[in-house]
Amino acid sequence: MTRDELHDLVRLHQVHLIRYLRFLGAIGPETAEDLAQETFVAAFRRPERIPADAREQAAWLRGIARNLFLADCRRRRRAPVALDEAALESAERHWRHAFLRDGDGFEYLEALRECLARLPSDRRRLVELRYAEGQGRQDLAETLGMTENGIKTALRRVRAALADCIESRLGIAGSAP
Amino acid sequence: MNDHRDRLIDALLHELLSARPHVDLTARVLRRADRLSRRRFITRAVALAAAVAMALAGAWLARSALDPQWRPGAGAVTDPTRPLVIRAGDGGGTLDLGQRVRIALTPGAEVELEAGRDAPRVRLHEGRIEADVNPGGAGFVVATTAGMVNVTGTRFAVVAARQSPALVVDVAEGEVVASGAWGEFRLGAGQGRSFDIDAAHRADGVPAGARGLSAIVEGVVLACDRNTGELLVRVDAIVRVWPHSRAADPASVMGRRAALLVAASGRAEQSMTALREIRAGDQVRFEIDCPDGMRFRLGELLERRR
Repeated sequence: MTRDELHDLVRLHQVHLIRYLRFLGAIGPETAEDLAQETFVAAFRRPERIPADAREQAAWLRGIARNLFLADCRRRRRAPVALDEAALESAERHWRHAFLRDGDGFEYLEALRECLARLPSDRRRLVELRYAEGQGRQDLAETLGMTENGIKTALRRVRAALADCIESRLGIAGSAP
Repeated sequence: MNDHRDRLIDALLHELLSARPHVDLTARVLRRADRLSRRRFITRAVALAAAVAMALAGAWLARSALDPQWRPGAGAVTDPTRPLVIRAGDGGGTLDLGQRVRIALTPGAEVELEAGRDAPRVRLHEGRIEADVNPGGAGFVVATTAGMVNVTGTRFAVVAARQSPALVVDVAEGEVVASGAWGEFRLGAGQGRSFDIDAAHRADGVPAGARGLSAIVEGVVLACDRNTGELLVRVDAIVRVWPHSRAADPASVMGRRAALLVAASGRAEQSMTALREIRAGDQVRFEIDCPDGMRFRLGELLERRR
């Protein structure tokens, strides 16, 4: 594999891969980026296994990323959910069924933007404080005069509402096969 | 399912709304890849060098390891302090060196295995060995105190005595090169020759007082060339001078190195037969004459002691 080929592979898949790793539960952006980097290095070690088709490449890289993520969680003794291969396979199915409906997730992201714009102002403020300003639950609780559990529940409800909105727009029904 | 939905929206909100810019992993990945490539190159170079070294060592070992298979006859003597020395007993023995060299040791013969740089090699301390060397290999070397014999594919015999400067080579098939202080000689099939360090010197000329000599003398064989029928003898004693001798001073041959030519006379065949048994170092008593004043002729071989 030449440097140019590796360069193109990274440019083509890095955003999706970091996003996917965050979806799996990588804590913080740095962890997702580090694992994505390791995924590409692993691919570089086995160039003969890299599929020619871009979508197959993405699926193959996600498989490497899942294994690296699982190993990382075990090494750090920190799992975001009850984590095992079956849970990760289930996550992969949801990723393909919901997010990758159009192949690259563009529609899902556009739907999220639209649904986000339609949120009521109090919920939208909660989302901006959490995701744009990066406030933790304790800060949010102080800012908004709520308990930390209340913040946790409120955020979960907002995300559920956004997911409902997106799935309604895109016609996504039922669970992943 | 709900966990997946929740984490998907969480991840996408982080990506969409975070002030943190997207990170380009390209440079980081390429740096890692470059380091890996360098390490891979070094690993391969080291592995290649190791493989070449192993191959060379293997080839050297294959060449130098004689893989001796010794089948001793009766009375063979082994010395645990000299494991590479093989001495044949009364029954002689056969020594195989690899697939190409077979050596028959006559009773009493002693050889020592030596690590040859290219060809299998033995040192003949004493006695007679007969070697059968198949062509196609690196050849075979027999070293003795007096010199060495190199062959590439032949059947030949070598005789040496402990600490003796003499060496006898008989070639049955093929060709050998014998080298020593006397120089280098190539011997073909059917040829045989005795080499002696002293034989490097030319034979002394016929002394003027010995011209026309006809006598029985005693001496020591210094060299023997069965191809040319020449014998180099140091004359130590004059046993008898025949009445018809015309030599003015028969005693002038004493202590001289006399080159004896087997005469093309009625006794030539007998002399040639005798010549085949003569070895350097033998004590001999024989008839000589010098009819032309130029060189001695070998008459009858009367006695030979070894």
